[in-house]
Amino acid sequence: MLLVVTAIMFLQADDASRTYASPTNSTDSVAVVGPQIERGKYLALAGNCASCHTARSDGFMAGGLAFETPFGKIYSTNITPDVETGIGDWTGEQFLNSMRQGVRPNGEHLYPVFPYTAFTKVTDEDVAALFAYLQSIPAIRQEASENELWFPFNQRSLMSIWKAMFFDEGVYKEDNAKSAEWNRGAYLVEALAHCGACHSPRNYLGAEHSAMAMTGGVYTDKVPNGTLRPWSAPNLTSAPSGLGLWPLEEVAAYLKTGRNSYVETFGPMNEVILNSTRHLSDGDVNAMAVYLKSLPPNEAHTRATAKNSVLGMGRTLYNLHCGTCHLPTGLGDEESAPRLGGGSLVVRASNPASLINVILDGPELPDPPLPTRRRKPMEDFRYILDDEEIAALASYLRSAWGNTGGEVTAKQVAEQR
Amino acid sequence: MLTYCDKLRISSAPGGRLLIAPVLAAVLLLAGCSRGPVEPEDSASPLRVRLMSGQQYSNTIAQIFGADISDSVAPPLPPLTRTDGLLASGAAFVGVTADQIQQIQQAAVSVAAKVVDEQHRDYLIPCKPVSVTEADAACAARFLRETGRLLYRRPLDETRMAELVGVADAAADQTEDFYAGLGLALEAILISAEVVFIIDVSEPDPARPGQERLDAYSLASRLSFFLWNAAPDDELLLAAESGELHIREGLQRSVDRMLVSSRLEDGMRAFFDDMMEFDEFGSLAKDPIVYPMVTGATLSDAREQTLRTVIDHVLTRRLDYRDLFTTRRTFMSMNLAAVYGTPTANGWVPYEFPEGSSRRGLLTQVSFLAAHSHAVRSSPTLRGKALRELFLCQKVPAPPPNVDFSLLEDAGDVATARERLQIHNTTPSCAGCHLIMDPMGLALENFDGAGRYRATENGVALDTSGELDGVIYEDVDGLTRAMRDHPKLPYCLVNRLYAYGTGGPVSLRYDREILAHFLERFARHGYKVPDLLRDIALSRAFSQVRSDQRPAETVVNATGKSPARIALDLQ
Repeated sequence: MLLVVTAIMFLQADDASRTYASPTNSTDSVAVVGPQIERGKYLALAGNCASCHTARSDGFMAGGLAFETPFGKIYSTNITPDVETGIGDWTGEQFLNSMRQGVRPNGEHLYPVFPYTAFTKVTDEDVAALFAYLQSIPAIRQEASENELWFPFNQRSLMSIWKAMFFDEGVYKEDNAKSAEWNRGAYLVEALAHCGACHSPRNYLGAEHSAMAMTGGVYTDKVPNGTLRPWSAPNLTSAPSGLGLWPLEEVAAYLKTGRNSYVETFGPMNEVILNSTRHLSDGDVNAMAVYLKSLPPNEAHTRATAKNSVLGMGRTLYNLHCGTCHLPTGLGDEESAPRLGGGSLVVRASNPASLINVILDGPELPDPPLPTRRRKPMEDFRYILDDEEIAALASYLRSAWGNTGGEVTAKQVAEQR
Repeated sequence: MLTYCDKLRISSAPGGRLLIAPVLAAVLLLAGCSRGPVEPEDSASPLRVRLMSGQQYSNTIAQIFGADISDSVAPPLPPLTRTDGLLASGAAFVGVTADQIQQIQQAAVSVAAKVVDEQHRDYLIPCKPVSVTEADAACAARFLRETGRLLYRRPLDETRMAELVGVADAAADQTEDFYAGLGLALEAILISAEVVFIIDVSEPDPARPGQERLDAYSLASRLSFFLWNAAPDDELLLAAESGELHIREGLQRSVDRMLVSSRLEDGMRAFFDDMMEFDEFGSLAKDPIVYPMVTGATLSDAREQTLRTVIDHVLTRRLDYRDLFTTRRTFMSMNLAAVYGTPTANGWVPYEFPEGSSRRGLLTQVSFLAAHSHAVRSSPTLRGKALRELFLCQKVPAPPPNVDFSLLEDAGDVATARERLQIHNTTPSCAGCHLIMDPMGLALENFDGAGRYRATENGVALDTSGELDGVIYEDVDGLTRAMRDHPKLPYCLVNRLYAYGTGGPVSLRYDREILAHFLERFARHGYKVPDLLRDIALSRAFSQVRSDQRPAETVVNATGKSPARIALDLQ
């Protein structure tokens, strides 16, 4: 998934000169051997590095992908071994410092669009393997695009204050009270896969809200027509709006295949599954599911249910435009449409942004497509329904069949349109 | 230049004289200066090439050469595919095969032969040749120029005229028959792509630099086929020639003339016939054992009854379009009287269903009830589907390919359709679509598959209660009222009329705002159809060409010739 789009910077100068010295295992000393590269390749998949560091099909890991943030546009960097434009002249220690501390070889702070807040938890061995892998891929000469952040956020030195407030440096520490599988899952979810980057809400300075971790977040990404719109990442705790209704096997199936009994991947989650989780071993995917299912229920704020008159309008619109495929029961059918009741995270999410997007523009399905028995893809309703109608429809979906997502307003739809 | 109303607005605006502002504001209102909804600035419609319909071909031939010639020739044009509810919209996406070109040519031969035969030549050809056995270029040119202008719907350029006169002269020389030569030249006109296709041509709009508008002749054709379902008459072509159609007042004069013409009825009959899918009557039949009183003549009269009802209601009486769905007023014929169970006189006579009758509005007329039933029984599903698709412009998906009809056939020993269709509600894959069809159709179960009234089915009293999009009703009266008040009912008419007028289906991507604009004005004018026709015909959208056409809608290539031009241009 696209990383931290609500990136944050803070305003204060700092020496920015801290560097990390690995106490036991300098990556410089690690021989670059086949198994390590293979391991690094696997870790790069788990970290979904390519999704953010690849802007073009002929530019694997060469960066250049733009991220829209509230503070301007920021581009991913070239992490191929090109000496002049990539990380070819980096040492293993410098690479470790970037992951662990969020600093460049010259000591400058990295912006947390690069999610070192999560990567700091990656072990030295894994960082070394990742570095070995990145040094083994073809070098591509591609200058990094200049970030287009506005003042004062374009002052990297100011990130030191932000780090002091919100960044907890340190490798993942195992919880001995938990199983090895749980710890493996926690490591993957919290460190490499950096799920919280999208699935955790952020405070006013763009840092993840630790008390509400994994309760769902909002970020900006493209909708099918290419424009940028807010998306909501659903709650991954066991709350009713989250994974509470999903058995562990369903969580694992979704990560492994992009589909389960409740939902099919679309939109920004496509690249997370296609580029990352589907490549992980069954054991690792299961471990992630074990960890996610262990997250205690934590419900983000939800809006009240819409008025009956609005729900009535929404029900009529549902019957006309949606029920013929999603069925009056809301349970869908494998040949017609996914279910909307009884566990659709998209419908139940506390923030309806993704639901509105999919109604407006239809779902952007994975490419290449998943095997499907669906007779036809969902159409878009951007030009069929107006804001008030989509709001009523979404409100109805979020109140029917046990869903408790709350009202959606025409204003919210207008903002997404 | 400021209008009187503009001046009043300025005077009453902040900064005007405080004391007189309220007074002037009141005057402004009393003077009726409220302009009403303003048409979206960027409204426009696509350029299109559309095949003339069979009816349009016949109407055009009848208008130029007389009904007897038109009636003697079957329209040679291929059937159209219904697109977004209208055959007329399908005309923008149809081509012609080699066989069809041959049919067009055969029809041209027949028409031309009759025009120049001894019966017709004296009043259809405005001059006499010096000798009937020799070519006469001057007389040929006069006929071809006048007739060609009406058939091409624009003047012929000199090159084309020279070609046609050349054809006439050469053939006359060969056959030693002036009229045979003239007939051959007329054939050449009749098989031209520009005759059988309605080809929109654009030109730069001087009032909007960088934008295009229909040229005056294309606008004349669009107006004429919209309102009259036929080619422009001489007066409309003159208005195009003079540039009057591109002046607001001139356009208004022409449109108003067309709206009061008796030919408007032809145009609107064609539109409603298309909108209500009455072409299906061509293949409609009822089982004579089950419905012995329903013959082909009965069904033909059912179609005519509804068209008469519509025309009387919306044009003659200028009543609220929505009331068509609750009105008791109609026309009756002997054939229909047997189905309706009422006495009547010979011929078509005005008729009003009595208070207390279940007959109210179009949904309770035989045309709707019989057309959307099976040959041996009624069909709530077909009726509900038609209600939505024809009058509300809502789409009901086709049944899934693997639908299991045996569930319905094996519904057991049930007396009524409501019981039989209950299976739809218990099968999830059926329920979604049938939820939006069956309840509306069940409200019409007091009418059998032929449209006859019945209180019971197989001895069981009928339950005709239901719901239409949130409105609960107890019986067919309730359904007709719910239909009459449905917000999509007038919207659908606006949608279909705009598509019909501009020659192709609406694009909600581009046309949402203009449709909303027309709908607002339609409501403001009390849902009077003539006012809506006038609004559409006079709108900027009607004559302005959309500049951002998608490839599929770009139907004229860079040379300005239609794709069919090569195939049809036999000269």
